[in-house]
Amino acid sequence: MKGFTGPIYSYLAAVLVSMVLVSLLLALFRIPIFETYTLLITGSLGSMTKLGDTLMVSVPLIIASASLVITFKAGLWNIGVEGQIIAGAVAASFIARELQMPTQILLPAMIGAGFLGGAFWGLLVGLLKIRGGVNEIFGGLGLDFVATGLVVYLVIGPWSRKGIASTSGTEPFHENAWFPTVEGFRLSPLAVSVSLLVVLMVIFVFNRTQFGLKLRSIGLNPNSSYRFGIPTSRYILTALVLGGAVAGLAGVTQVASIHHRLVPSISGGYGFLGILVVLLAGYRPFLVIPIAFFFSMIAIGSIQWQLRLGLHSSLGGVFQGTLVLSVVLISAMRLLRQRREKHVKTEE
Amino acid sequence: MVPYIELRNINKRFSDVNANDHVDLSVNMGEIHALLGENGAGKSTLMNILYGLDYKDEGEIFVQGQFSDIRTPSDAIALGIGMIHQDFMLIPPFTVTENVVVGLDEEGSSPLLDLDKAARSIKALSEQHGLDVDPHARVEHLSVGEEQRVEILKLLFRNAKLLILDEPTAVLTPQEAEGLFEVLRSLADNDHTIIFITHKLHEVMNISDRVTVMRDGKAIDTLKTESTNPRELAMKMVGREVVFHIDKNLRKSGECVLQIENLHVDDDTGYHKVQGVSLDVHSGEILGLAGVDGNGQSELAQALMNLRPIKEGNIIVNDVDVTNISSSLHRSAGMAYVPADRRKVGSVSELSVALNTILGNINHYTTAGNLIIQDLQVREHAEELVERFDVRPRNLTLDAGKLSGGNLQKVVLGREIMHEPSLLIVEQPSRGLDVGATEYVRRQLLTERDRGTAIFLISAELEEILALSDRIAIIYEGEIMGVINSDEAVVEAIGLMMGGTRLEDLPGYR
Ligand SMILES: Nc1ncnc2c1ncn2[C@@H]1O[C@H](COP(=O)(O)OP(=O)(O)OP(=O)(O)O)[C@@H](O)[C@H]1O
Ligand SMILES: [Mg+2]
Repeated sequence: MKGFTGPIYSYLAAVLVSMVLVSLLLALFRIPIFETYTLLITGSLGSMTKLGDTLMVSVPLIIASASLVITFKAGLWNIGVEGQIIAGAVAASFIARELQMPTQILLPAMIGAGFLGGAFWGLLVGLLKIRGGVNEIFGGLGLDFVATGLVVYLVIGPWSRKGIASTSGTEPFHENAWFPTVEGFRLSPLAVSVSLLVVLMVIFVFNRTQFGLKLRSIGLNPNSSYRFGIPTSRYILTALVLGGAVAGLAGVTQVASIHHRLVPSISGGYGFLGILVVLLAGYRPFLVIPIAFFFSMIAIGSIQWQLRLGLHSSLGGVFQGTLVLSVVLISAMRLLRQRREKHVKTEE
Repeated sequence: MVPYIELRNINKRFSDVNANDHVDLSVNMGEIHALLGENGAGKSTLMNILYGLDYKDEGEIFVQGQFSDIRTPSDAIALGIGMIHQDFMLIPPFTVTENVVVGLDEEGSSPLLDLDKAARSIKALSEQHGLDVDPHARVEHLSVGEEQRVEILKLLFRNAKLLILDEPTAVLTPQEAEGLFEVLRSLADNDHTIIFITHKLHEVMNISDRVTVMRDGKAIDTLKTESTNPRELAMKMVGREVVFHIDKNLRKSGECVLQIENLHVDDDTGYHKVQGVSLDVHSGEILGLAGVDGNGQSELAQALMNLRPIKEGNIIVNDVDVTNISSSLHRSAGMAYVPADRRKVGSVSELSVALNTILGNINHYTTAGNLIIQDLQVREHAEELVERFDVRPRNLTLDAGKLSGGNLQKVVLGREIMHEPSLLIVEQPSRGLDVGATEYVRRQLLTERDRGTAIFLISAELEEILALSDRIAIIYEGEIMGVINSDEAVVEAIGLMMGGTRLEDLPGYR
């Protein structure tokens, strides 16, 4: 699997195809099609509040996807991002709970801790792989479960609210540990900047550094790369640690700008949703931003479907899934057409 | 004088094979040193040890008199050692420049990439050494000859002083090989040292200063090239007299087995590679297809086996139209195929030698509705093949990918022949084979022909075509220039046709 590599406009075609498919589904159940789509737009972009919410959902998704780009480009099927997001969130929560400091110091400390927490979780996947010979898929998945267990334990155990042991989350953090927001909205410019900076960093690493070139080379052919004199194990380890660190930042934004506390579902499934985003982006980091934003629009807009049309919220997921299938379909059709054109060309 | 490289008493075992048996080798600065030996003699293993890909069990390596413990390729590269492998190793989607700079040790150099600057130095380097190649081209668009120049540039770019080339000419046309030799000579004149592995004795005589012969993991002898000759080298290598000329029985050809009618085929990029080829091959004859590599031979063979879409034309085998039948039916139609690329197309590296001997015919060895493979029958079949074709080592459970290049070829060829096909299509049968194995494989092909098999032989080596064929077809840019009987064949005439002259346009053609 190499991800999708088509030109940009073919994404628009894919959106249209998936809209047609979803429309058929809606028609089958006699649901007003036009209204459904307008609700999606107005529900996600219709007001400053809604736009802010959409942006806030896209932040962790963009960061998780950027993390995945790093490891996927190095040829690693990293599905441990969920666990790394949690590790980052737990580390940041620890700082938020334990340190009483002014916000200018506390927030950078939380970001640093999340970065290290995620890096540590990535390091474990890497060590299991290069020392223990455990494929990163199994190591990552296993550590996802461990992290989920850990966060549930913390929430109902040592970090539980006074008197109640509930899975609804810890005590909210002191406001010093909240990312500042635009007055009256949930939108946090700091969180958005972090996500954009991360993407810029990934673009820079892969296009402008020796390190990035080596990772791409390992991703394309580890055997050749080793013969080129690249210490492949060390670079694989570094990629997993760096990917983990970036994923940890997604955890920080989750606790510091969305939930303001640690909750069991803190990773939000972004580690898995990010895999779809990255495959659709064909591993191209700059495309992660619009694709993640579009996914977030569906996620936020589909809330209105439930409120206004009484549709089940999982319809948003159906739309996202159809979108992925349409992209695959379009890329297959594009390849077929290219082949046929070649034939015509040579027959002239 | 201290030798540039000295290997002392190198020993390396792989489970039950002693691939290197206490080998000594010393190579002088500025020398071109040929390494010669049978398939499986241990040449690649010895060089892999020097390059840090395998680690020796015993022995010592000295580089310019310094004891050197080489454990990884980066250790070797730091000592100025570079290697070009039997199979090319470049990354196809990368540009030439990216391929050259990737993996460069960045100690002291900037962690940032400056591809434009690198491209300029590559350009300069390529002009200095006559290694013509565009630094901005993508490697997937290059010819094999160009790819090899990139490999050499990559070594020079990181200041390699010792260049190891493992069978570099196996996939080159004679012209490309001559170009490579010129580059190597000029490098040697400029203080580079070169170790060169080959099976072609004329190349040893042509290019090397000294030659070391290996047999069964041991270094038998090191000789000065000027004081030896091909016959002596072959003798030392195989341990017996090698017959370079094989006598053919008179041909008793029968009815037409393969008939190709007006075939048109494209390559992957849509280029019209085969343009209206019509040929026929009869039972009991070898039809040789001569031509410079890349003139449509591979595409033609692939189209015959339906591995490539056929745009136009028909293929008839034993009076049955097989133009578009699925490849699973080829065997029952009596067809067998030995592709040029044994490692990637002809075999499955991760499977055992035994299973590789039944590929394409697995159903014959299964029971319970094709669910269970009958190990015993497979083993018997594999044992017979390994015995008959002298595959070494005689280890049926070894992964096929761990066989030396030549021995893998024997497995693939043996598998196809033992199926007793009525039509055998063979590409480059002796590519990568030592002189002894070449002789053996050629004899097998002649035996098959005498048994009544129709053989379509595709080879870039004219000498091979002349030695084996009953009739010779010459292909140029996808078109057949003419078909001649081999007893009337004149090398010069064939050479002209390989260059694009039609038979009827030849001077003196009646
Ligand atoms: N990784 C391995 N595991 C087991 N056996 C191996 C391995 N690598 C090589 N061998 C065996 O070691 C022996 C020497 O192999 P090597 O590749 O060095 O031969 P070679 O001289 O290069 O032959 P060729 O001319 O056919 O390339 C062979 O018998 C081969 O099967
Ligand atoms: Mg070899």
